[in-house]
Amino acid sequence: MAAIEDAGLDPAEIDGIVRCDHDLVQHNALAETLGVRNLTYWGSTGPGGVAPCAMVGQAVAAILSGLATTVLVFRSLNGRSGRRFGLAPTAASQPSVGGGMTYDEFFMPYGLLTAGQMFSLIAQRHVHEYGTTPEQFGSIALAFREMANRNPRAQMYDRTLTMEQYLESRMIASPLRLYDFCLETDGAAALVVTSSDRAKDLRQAPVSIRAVCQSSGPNVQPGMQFGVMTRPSITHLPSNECAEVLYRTAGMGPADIDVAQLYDCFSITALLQLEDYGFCKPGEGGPFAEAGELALGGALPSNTSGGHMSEGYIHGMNHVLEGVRQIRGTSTSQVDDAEVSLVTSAPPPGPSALILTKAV
Amino acid sequence: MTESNLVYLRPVTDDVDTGGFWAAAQQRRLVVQACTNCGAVLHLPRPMCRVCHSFDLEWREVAQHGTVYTSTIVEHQVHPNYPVPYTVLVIELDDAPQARLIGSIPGRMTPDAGTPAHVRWETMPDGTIVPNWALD
Repeated sequence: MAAIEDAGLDPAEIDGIVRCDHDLVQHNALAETLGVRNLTYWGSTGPGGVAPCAMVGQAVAAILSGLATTVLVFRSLNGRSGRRFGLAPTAASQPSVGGGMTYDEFFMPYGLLTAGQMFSLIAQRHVHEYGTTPEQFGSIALAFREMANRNPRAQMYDRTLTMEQYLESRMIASPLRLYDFCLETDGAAALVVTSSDRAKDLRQAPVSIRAVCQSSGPNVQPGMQFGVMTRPSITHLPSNECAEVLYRTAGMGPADIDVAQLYDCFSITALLQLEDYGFCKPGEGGPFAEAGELALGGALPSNTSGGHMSEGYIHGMNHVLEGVRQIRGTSTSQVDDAEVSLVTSAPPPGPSALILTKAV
Repeated sequence: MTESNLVYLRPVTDDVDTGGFWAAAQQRRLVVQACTNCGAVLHLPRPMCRVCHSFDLEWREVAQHGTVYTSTIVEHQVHPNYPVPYTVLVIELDDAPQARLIGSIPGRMTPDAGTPAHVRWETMPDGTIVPNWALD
């Protein structure tokens, strides 16, 4: 409702809805509650954190093809009070694991149970290949925390973090510590996508979607997430291909990006994307972060609301909203004269991303 | 190395795509899916070769040896029957580096990439035999 009101629209005018495949809320339930007159397009994508930018892409496609005019894109979850992603299935609820093209039978019996453990395996491989240090991972956590300390809506608004606290925090799955992990959040985020012509007449100065894309890359592995372990390289993900398509579509490159919201389920996830989206060379994500480049005034101010690690975990949709705020000039960590804003969604198994600009 | 069981969650062993791997494991044989037409190793297993699109696939026996690709020490317990600390290993098979399998060992280890490892067969309480891994 807040998103629709912000746009100056009547909820009845919404004629499209895009949801994330993990969302408990179905399109029809939401449409009925909003009082939508006639929904002419609905869709969903995923899995999970891969979805948000791709969901915006579906809205764009629906509008350009004439299937809908005004599309609501939303993500809602009770990540703390409801299903907690960090917990594993117990035997009582799931006596055996795998089958049915989940491929979990190759992973979970060995105690590889969560996304956090999987990204820790990726992080350790990055350490093997490039010598990435604890201080480098920590500098990502600290950069996003500083952003959250300026954002009154962030879960970690009033909690500062020092490198000493980071290094002393408990290990969850080596080399990743407590503060390398995202938060658990009950919350929701939504935005309205419509045509440029229609947007001109609405309440807010519109933000243009310059480019949006999804990419699987070659040899995408089946299964929801653990199949990533069998990719040729686990330190270079399909965000490589996604960046290529995104920049080509936008007619831009990494040097044009003023501010970024990088999907940060874990610090390593943000680090890999610094490399995959071309802000530094492969292997140099750690030194890039350690040099302070993610802070305001750095080469790439990132996750300016605090991101998943310090604002809250709305499965990447809060990143899209913050990307919009940067173009509107309303972020609590506003980048001066921000004109080109990058937003990314989760890299494995196949990411999505978008570039926002001021409306022309 | 301890002989105690680490595997608690029972793998589905009769899946149409992956059942051949587990059937061989019951005979303490390690196999990977391979294409009989072009020879490609297919892991994770699937119905059709991703290289030449042949449906003529086989389960090829491979040596029970590999090397560590990466690892993590799990310190935060997420399942009552997987007590911490334990170390998850990702193993590249000597005979089929394209295939990576997972193993786990008790306690804390951070083996260098390339550290040699071998299969350690575990028998679960219901008799299911599972290939786990140990460092050489």
